[in-house]
Amino acid sequence: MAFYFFADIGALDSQSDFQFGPTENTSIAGVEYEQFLVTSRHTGQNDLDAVAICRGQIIVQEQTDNQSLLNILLKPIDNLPFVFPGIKYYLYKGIKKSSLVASNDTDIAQRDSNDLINSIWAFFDKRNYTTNPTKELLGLNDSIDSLIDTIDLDDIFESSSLDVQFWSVQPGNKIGKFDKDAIGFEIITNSLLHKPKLAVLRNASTFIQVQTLSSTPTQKDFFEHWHKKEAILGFIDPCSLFSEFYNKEISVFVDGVVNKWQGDDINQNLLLKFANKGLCYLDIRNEFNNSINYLKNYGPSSVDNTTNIQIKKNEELGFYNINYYSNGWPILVIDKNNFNESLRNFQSLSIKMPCSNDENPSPLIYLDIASKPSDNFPTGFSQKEKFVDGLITDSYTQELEVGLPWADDNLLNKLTRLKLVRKTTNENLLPATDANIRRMDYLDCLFPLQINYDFANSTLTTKVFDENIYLDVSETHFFDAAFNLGISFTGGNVTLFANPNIINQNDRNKERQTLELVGDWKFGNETSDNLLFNLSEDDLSSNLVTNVLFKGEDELHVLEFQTSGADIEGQFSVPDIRKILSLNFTIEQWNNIVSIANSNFLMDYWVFLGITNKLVLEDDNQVNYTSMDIIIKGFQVTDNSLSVQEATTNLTVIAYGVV
Amino acid sequence: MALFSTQEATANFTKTVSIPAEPFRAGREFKSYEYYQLYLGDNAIPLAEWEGQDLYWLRRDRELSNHRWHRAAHLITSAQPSLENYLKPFAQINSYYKTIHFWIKGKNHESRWVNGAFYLVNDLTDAYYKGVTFLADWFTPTPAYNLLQALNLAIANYAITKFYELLYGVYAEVPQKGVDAYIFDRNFIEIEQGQVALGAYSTAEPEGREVVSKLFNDTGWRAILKDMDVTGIFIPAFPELFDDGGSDLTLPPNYGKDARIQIPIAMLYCDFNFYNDPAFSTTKLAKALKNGETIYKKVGLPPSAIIPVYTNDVDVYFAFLRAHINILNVFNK
Repeated sequence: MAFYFFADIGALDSQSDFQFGPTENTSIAGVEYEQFLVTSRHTGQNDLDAVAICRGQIIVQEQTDNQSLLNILLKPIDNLPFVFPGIKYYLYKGIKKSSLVASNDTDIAQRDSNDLINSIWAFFDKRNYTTNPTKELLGLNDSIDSLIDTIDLDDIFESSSLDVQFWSVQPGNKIGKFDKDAIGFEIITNSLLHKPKLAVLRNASTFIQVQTLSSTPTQKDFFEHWHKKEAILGFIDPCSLFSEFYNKEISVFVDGVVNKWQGDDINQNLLLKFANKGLCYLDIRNEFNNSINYLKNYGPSSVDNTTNIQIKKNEELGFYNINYYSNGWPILVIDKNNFNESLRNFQSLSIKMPCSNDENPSPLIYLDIASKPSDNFPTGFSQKEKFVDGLITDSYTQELEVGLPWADDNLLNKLTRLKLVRKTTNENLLPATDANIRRMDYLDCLFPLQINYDFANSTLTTKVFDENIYLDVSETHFFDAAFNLGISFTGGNVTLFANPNIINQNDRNKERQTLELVGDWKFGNETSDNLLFNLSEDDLSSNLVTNVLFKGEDELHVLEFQTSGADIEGQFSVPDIRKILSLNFTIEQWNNIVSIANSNFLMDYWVFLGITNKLVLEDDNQVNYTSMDIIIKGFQVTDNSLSVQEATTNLTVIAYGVV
Repeated sequence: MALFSTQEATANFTKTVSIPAEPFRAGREFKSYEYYQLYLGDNAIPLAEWEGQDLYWLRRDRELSNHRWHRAAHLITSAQPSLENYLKPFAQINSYYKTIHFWIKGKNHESRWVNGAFYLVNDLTDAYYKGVTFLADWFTPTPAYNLLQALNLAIANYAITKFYELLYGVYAEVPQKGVDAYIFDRNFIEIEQGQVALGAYSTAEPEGREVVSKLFNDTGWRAILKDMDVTGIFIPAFPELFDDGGSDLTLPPNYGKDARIQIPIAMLYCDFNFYNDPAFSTTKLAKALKNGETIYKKVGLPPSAIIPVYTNDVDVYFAFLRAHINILNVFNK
C-alpha cells in the first residue's frame, strides 16, 4: 500500500527552528516551565496541500486561538511497512478553514477544493441529495465542539452516543490547504498511559510543559516532575518516521506532481526539510514501558535522575558514560560526532545499561525497535534475536550492539527502542519500596487500570494494545515473550488478557505461531459470547472448557483451553491459543475495582492489578488449581512523599493447574 | 495456560462445556517439578535441561502436549525391546495416541487404527472421569473398571510395538497407504482383539465381563450414549450380525472375538475394503453393510435410523458410517 509525505513538499521550507524536541522555558503566571515541542512546525513559500499519509478516518476541529485555522486528525487504517511504534493518530495543524468550509460557515467548501471535499460532494451527488453537505461531516459539529479539552480522543472515535460518522480518506488524498505560516505535523503513538486528549486537536502546537524543579526538590516533586516529562514518549518525531522510508518507498507531492522517493531522495530532498536531520533517538524503557530510570531504581537516589549508560561509537574512543537524561527529557539523542565517517551504510552503536544485582539480577534487553549492524543497510532483528541476556559485569549489562543507518556522511534519523526488563530469578528480591514497583509474579502489576475504557458508551467490545510487554513465564509456562495486553467486555465479563506476540524461542522444534490479536474490534453485533470462547471457536487446537473440581460438598469451576484433537507442538502453522494469560471478572466486579482505584490512587500514574496469597491447591481428586487474591497497586501521596501502596478488592481468582 | 477467573465470572461462560477435571494418575507423570525433584532426588535433571530424556514428564507437559512430553513419548515408542506399562490408563494413554497420530500422519502413513483407539479411550476417559453418574455404580470399585484398565494397558503395550514399526522400524521409510494401510490395520486389530484383548477378557472376573458386555451391547445404553456423542463406539454391537453370537463378551472361549475384530475394522474402513475383503465378505456384517449402502444410496435414510437399532441394513450401514466419519474426524478439533 502506498504511503505519502504529509504535505506537498515543493513549497515547504527547510525547517530552521520549531522542530520536535526540547525548547526554551516559558513562564506562565509567574511560574517557570520546561518545554518539549512534540509538533514539528514548518513554514512554506506559499500555502500548500496537506496530504493523507495513508488510509484512515478524520476529525476536524478549529484551533482554539485562531478560528480561521483548522486541525485535522487522521486515524490510520494502514500499518507502516517497517518495524516502528504503533501510530495512533497523525495530526495536521494549521489548515486554512476556507479550504474545507464554505464562507457561510455551514456548508463544506465548494467542489474541486481538494480530494476530501470532492469525495463528500461526490457522495451527495451520487445519492441525489438536494441539500449541501455541511461541515458537520468533517467533525465540526456541536456534539464534538462542545466537548471539553480534557476528554480522551479515543472516546470520541469510539463513542456510541455522539452520533457522528467520520469521513474516510485514501492515501495521497489532498485533505486541505496548510496556511504557509502555521504548518504543524504531529504523530501520536499507541500508549496505555499517555492517552491523547482533545486539546491536541485544537492547539496550534503541542508543548509538554513541566514546572521547573526547585534546587532542593522533595521526593514527591522530583518524581512528579519526571513523571510528567514521560508524556513526550507518547509522540514521535516525524523526521524519524520519514527517514525509515530510505529503504522503502514513499510517494511525495512536489508542486502537485507525485514522485516515488527512496534512498538518496529521502536523505537529500525530504529529510532536508527537518532541522533534526542526522539525529537519532535512543529510547530505553523499563519493564513497564516508562523510561529506564522512571522508578529511580537504576540511578543514584530518589531525587537524582542521573542515569549513566555507557555507549561506544568507535573502537578508538571506547565506552564512555553519558547521562540518559542529559537533555532534561527521558530520551537520548545521538548525533554523528565521533562515529567513523569512512564507513558506509551503517554505524555501530554499542550500549551498556546500568544494572545492579540488588535490583535486577537477571536482566534481559528486549530489542523492541532496533536494527542490526551489518555491512549492508541495517535491517531489523529477527524475532528470537530481539531477546538478549543482560549478564551483569561491574554493575552494567553486557555490551549490546545496534546499527544506525548512515548515508552521505551523516546518520539517518533512526529511532531505536530498547527495554531493560527482568527475567525470572531464583534470587529472593525484597518487595520494592517507596515509588518503585516490582513485579513479584508474572501476573502481578501486569494489567494497568489504564487499560479500562468507557465500554458503556463505546462501539467497541475489545481493545488490544500493541505495546510490547516482556514477561518471563518460564517457571510455569516454559517460555518468555513480548506480550500485547488487551481488554474485552464480552459475555457479561471483563476479560483482561496478555497475548504473546513475539516468543523467545531458539529451538525451531518448539516454535509456535502466535495468535494475531491487535487492534480494536467488536464481535458481530452482540456481546453474548466471551472473547475466550470466541477465540477457541476459531482455533483449531483447543476447546475452552469449564473444569469442575470437587472440594467436599463444594464445586469449583475453572476455565481451561483443553487440547483436543490437534497437536500443535512443532506445528508452526497452528496458532497456540493456550499461551494466552487472562484474568476474568464480572462487569460488576470490574466496576468495583475501578471504583476502588479511582478513590485510592493517582490515576495519572500507573495503577495496576496486583496479586497476593498465590497458592497451589488440590481438590479431592488431587487435581491442582492455583488461587490468588486480587489487590490494586498504585501511587499515593502521603506527607509530601509519593509511594506505591496497595488496596484490597476481596476478589479471589482461580485457574486450572499449577500456574 | 493461565485463565484466572472469579467463580462469578466463570459462571458467565455459559457456552463452554462443563466437565469434571481428570483426577491425577501418577506413573511417570508428576504434578509439578517439585514433586519430580522430591521423587528423584539427586537424579532429578535441572529444569532448564529437563527435556523428558529420563522418560518422566509433568501432567502439564502432557496437557499442553509440549516438548518434554513429546520427548518422553518418542523414547517410549522407539525403545527396543519395547517398554511396557510406562503409561497409565486412561488419560495418559489417550494423550499418547493423540501424539502418535500426528507422527504417523507426518510419515505419510494412512493407518487409521490410532484414530479409533483414541476415540475409544477418549470415550472411556470421559465416561469414567467426567462424571457420567450412571456409570459410577458400575465403575466404583468395580471388576469392570479393572477389566477396562487391563484392556487399555495391554492394548497400549501392544500398540507401541506397532507404532515402532511405522515410525522407526520396518515401515519407517515405507509409507503404508491405501490397501497396505488397511492390511496393516487389519493385522493390528486381529492380534489386538484376537490375542491381546482375549487375554484380558479371559482373566477378568465374570462380573467385570458382564458389566462391560452390558455397556457395549445394551440397547438402552446405546440410546443414552448416543446423546453423549459416544455412540460411534458402542452402537454397532448388533449381536444379530454375528454367526457365533460373537458380540457376547461373557461367552468363553472367544468372548465375542468376531465382533471385537469385525466391528472396529468395519468402522474404520466402511468406506472401502471391509466388505470386499475376502476375509470378511461372507460375514453377516459385511453383507448387511454392503446391502445397506446400496439401499442408502438409492433411497436415502429411513426414519428408523435416527436411533440406530438394528431394524434393517440401512440402519446398520448408517450407524457404521456415522461412527466411521466421527472416528476419522476425531483429530480435527
